[in-house]
Amino acid sequence: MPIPGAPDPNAVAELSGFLKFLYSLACLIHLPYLALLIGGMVLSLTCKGLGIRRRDPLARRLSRDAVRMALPGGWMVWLPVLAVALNLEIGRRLYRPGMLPLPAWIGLLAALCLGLAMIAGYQSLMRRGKDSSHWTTLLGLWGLVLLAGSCFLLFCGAGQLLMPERWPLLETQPLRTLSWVAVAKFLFFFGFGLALAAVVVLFRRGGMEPGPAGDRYESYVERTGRRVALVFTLLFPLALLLELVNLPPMSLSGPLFPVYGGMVAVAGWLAWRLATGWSEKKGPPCWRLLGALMLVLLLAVTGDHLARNRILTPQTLTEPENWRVWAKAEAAETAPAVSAAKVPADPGQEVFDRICGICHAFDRKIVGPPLLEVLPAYRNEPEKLREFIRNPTKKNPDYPPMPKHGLKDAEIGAVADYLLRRLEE
Amino acid sequence: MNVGKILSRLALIGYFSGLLLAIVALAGFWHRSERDLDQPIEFPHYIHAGRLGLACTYCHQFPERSPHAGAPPLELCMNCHQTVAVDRPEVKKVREHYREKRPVVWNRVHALPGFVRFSHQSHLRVEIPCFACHGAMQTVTVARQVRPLKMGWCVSCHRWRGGPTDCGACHH
Repeated sequence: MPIPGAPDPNAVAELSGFLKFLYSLACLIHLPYLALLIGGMVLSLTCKGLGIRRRDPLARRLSRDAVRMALPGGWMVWLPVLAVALNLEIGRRLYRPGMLPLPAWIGLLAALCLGLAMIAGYQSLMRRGKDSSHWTTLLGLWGLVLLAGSCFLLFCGAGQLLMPERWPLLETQPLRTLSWVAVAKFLFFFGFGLALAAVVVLFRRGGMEPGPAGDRYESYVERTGRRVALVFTLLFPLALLLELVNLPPMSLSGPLFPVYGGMVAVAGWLAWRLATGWSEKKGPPCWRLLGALMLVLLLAVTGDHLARNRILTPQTLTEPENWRVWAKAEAAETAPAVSAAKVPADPGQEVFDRICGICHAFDRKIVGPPLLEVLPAYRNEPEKLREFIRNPTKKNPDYPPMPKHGLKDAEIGAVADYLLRRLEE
Repeated sequence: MNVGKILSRLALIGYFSGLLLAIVALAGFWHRSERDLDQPIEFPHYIHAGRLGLACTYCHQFPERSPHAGAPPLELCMNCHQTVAVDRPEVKKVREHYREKRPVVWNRVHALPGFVRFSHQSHLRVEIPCFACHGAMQTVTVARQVRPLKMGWCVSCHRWRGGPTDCGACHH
């Protein structure tokens, strides 16, 4: 039943194609950036740990180079924060989800900023050669945890966009923000990030400063980068499959499956290139590998958009507003008007609401004319009005003839009295 | 090329082919499970429940007194469509069904498994609005399911609204 006081659904349902495009564009900006940051940090910290444990100078040098190569410096560090903030604002305006309160989103952005600042600190210490300090490791680890945690929460938000039925519950059951879709999306993102960081390391290995190990180091970087990229290129399609299995059925559509198939096919090509290797002369086809990874990301964002578009229809989008109106009515301990209208005291009003009100209002045209225009002709002739209701005839060429409803005499009498009484009010 | 390399390449091809096959299987499963939502008559909910503002119970007459909401009888449609919009193609179909005394066989959109007993009456009695389960029907033409109607979703709402959560409430 329509809830009194709820906003006009057609007005709420008007979604902007431009905002949707901007939303996906913002995803395409911050996702590769954050993935590269996380992948680069994991690579750097792992190499650091292995280098210290095995006393391997090549691994320790790679841990320094990985962080330098994968983490761009300067103002670019804050680009993902801006893109994420843009994403959150567009999501709020576009889909109006009462998902998480504003303080939660601000907290999320603050955690993201803090994580990025810690990673920038880690990067700076590594550049200054303080890579053996425990404080450097701790700073990097905490930065990574904060960054990965913020990303996971962002994916929880993205998962919630596919589950509008949970939105009303989130205020009282915040743990419902967690979902398998979010876990699968994050696992994909994590695997993708490591594959991307490894390919970037391969790509930029030529620009490394020459060290004492010379060619040995370059082949070590190539071998490590290739292995890491291959392992995670094999793993992230599994996360895609997990996501596809867990997507809400109402968000699935015909075009979505080819998109996921495309991602797996591109990952297959990538894995094949990484597994079969390349000639030493030519070196790795870095541009193609990077292009393939970007294509996977583009397909992932497209798939996300398709799923959102399928589930977030006007039929579901108006709901949070309606819930709020309903919740307010309950909080004020006033029964919603719908229930009050269930038992009208006046039998004439009951017939009017049930039958006549479908086509007639007193002050405006619906299907039939406004009653305030036609009723004055019957002001002193109630019997004539009863007869018209009993056997309606076409009176006004501007309106269709009124159908005969087969009402009982008592109902006709009651509704005629009600109409004439309302006329006098 | 040695045997190890050939085997590893075959394994790679097999792995990705398996993943692609799994996606094809999921697509097939989805296609089969996707109910045919084409209705014999394209009933515009957005006109009746939206523009005209009819209460849902004008057409679905029984939710307040029965487990089932009920589909409207043709006689109810003919209350208005004896005279209103008679030249519209979909209304012509309704009139044809009525004239030939042939009921409209609607495709069920919201179907629950046989082991679940859902009652519209008990939900309306505690004033759960229709949109809680059906979405804003006043915005659509043909009805589409927009809620999972799975146990987890039902139980979440029951907990939130303080409804019964014992098994016997829904499973008999």
